[in-house]
Amino acid sequence: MSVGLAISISFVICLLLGVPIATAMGIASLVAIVVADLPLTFLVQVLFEALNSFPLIAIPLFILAGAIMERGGLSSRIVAIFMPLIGKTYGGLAIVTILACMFFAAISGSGPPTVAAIGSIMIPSMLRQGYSAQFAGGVTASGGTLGILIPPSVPMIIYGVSSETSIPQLFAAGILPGVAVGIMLTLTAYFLSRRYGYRSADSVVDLGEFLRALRRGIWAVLAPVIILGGIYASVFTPTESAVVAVVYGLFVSTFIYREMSLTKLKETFLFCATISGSVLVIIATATIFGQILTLQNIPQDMAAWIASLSDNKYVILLVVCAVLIFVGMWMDTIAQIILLTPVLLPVVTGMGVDPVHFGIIFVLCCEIGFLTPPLGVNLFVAMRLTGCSVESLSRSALPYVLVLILAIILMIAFPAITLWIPDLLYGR
Amino acid sequence: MKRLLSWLNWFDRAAIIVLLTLLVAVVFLQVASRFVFNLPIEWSEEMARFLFIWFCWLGCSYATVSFHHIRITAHLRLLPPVLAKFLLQLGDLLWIGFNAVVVVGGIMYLGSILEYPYRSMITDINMLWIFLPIPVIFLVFTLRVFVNLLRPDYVEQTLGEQEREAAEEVEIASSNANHSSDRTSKP
Repeated sequence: MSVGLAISISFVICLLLGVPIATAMGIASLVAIVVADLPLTFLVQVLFEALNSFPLIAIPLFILAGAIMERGGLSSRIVAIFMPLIGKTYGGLAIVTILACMFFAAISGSGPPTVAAIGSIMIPSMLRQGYSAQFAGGVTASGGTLGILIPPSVPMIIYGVSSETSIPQLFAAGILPGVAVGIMLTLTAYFLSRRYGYRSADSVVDLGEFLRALRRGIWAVLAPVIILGGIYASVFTPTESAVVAVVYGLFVSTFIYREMSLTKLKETFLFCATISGSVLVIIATATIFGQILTLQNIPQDMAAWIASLSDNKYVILLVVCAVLIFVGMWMDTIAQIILLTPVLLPVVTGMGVDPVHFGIIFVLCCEIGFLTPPLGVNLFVAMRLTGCSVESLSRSALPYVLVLILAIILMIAFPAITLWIPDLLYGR
Repeated sequence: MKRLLSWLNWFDRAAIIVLLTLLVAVVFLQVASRFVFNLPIEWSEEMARFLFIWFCWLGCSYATVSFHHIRITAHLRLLPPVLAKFLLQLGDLLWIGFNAVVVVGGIMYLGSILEYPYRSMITDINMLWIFLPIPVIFLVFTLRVFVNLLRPDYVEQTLGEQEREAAEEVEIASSNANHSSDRTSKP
């Protein structure tokens, strides 16, 4: 039996049995080692050595920073800044939800915490003003997807490590698409609210209150500047900037907002360890899995097969995106990036696509996975916040999914949207 | 057995908190020493990586206690519960088998480093000491997978991983939102 066949069969069987993805990759690698008669110590050596990496330390640190800022009262201050500006605009609260998600995304590196942090404040307000629960959940779940597109972003760090692309360049490339997609989602929320007639009749624009909220929230507003400014100015590596974010978050939430206690901090650390542990083990076993696949020429063969479908760059990119969106419906974002980057990146770079540009398209496809059942993690969070079923929420998120697909097509057609800022900053 | 498990959980929680605190401290020290004191330290990066390795594997083992490992389960929910349980248990036996191989292979690998020392570049530590805890952590990890298998709520816990994670996020965020709105309403 060929090694490639043995790997694929054992991997698929493990996934079907519901074995954790990390272990499924480990078992498939073990099968390959037995079939190809490689030494067992090879597996252990790569497994132990896989996490001996400084860039990866950014992952638990960004998770920790986001968790501290969420618990430390920064999200409610961000919302308070936007609130006095809405007046009688249709869908004012829905617009604030997405803007606040954009802002929180510049502190947090993942999607579901963004939905929880902003949704827990905005969904009750929307319900009080007569928005339907289904609509409120859909808006928040969709806004929360920006968590991974607007830097810092855990999926971008993982893509950067597994594709050997510069993480600061990926972070720079995420800014413009993040803002553009944010605006597109805001407009969608506005037009939908106008159709349903959602608006508050009696609120007025209050600039004085806006300035007061801005002053109270200034520490929250400065957080993204400190986190991202240092990376873009090449003063910090992403890992160092993550630690600065942790320390800054701790300082602000303990000494200024006074919402952090030792018990809360202990829980936050354990929460961070559980999430990081279940994510990083996938990276560890994926490293062996990837090395064994490469030894067997499997990514190269698959790349050649995909490339044989067409010689048009745009057709290939659209096919690749369709695959990514489909896989994203079933698989966790991080597992998807680790597994598919080595396979798909050579295909698109062979066609002359920039790896940084492809990284952003990849992350956008993952955003859709957050909003599509059966495994749409943002929908699960929104379900908890609204009490609506995942099915009804996925229907109300559908317009936003279509907008995200439109955004992917725009990104493919105009690479400058992603590449302009990194070119400018790093003079590539 | 119960006492052993709760002692192990206690130990892991303590170790995780200590390691993460040290990790933050070491990386922050690296930044601070470079900027504030203009004295770059050499050992911090390697130190941070070693702390990180232990933190990751402990976190991974600890995540088993609350069924946090990421699986693909959408298809299993469509099956009758008895069948789903059978398949999941079969899968988790494979998991235990794989972990056992890592423990045995890990000891073999450590034996080979003992014979031919492999030292870290800057801090000149024998990597034996860095890798030594990993097989031990894997042993506890395996025990936890096995204990979960015997729990009466095994199937619902395993299948409900993503929803539970969402529930936790929400619980934290909403308790916090109530708390801070109480605060901000006061002048």
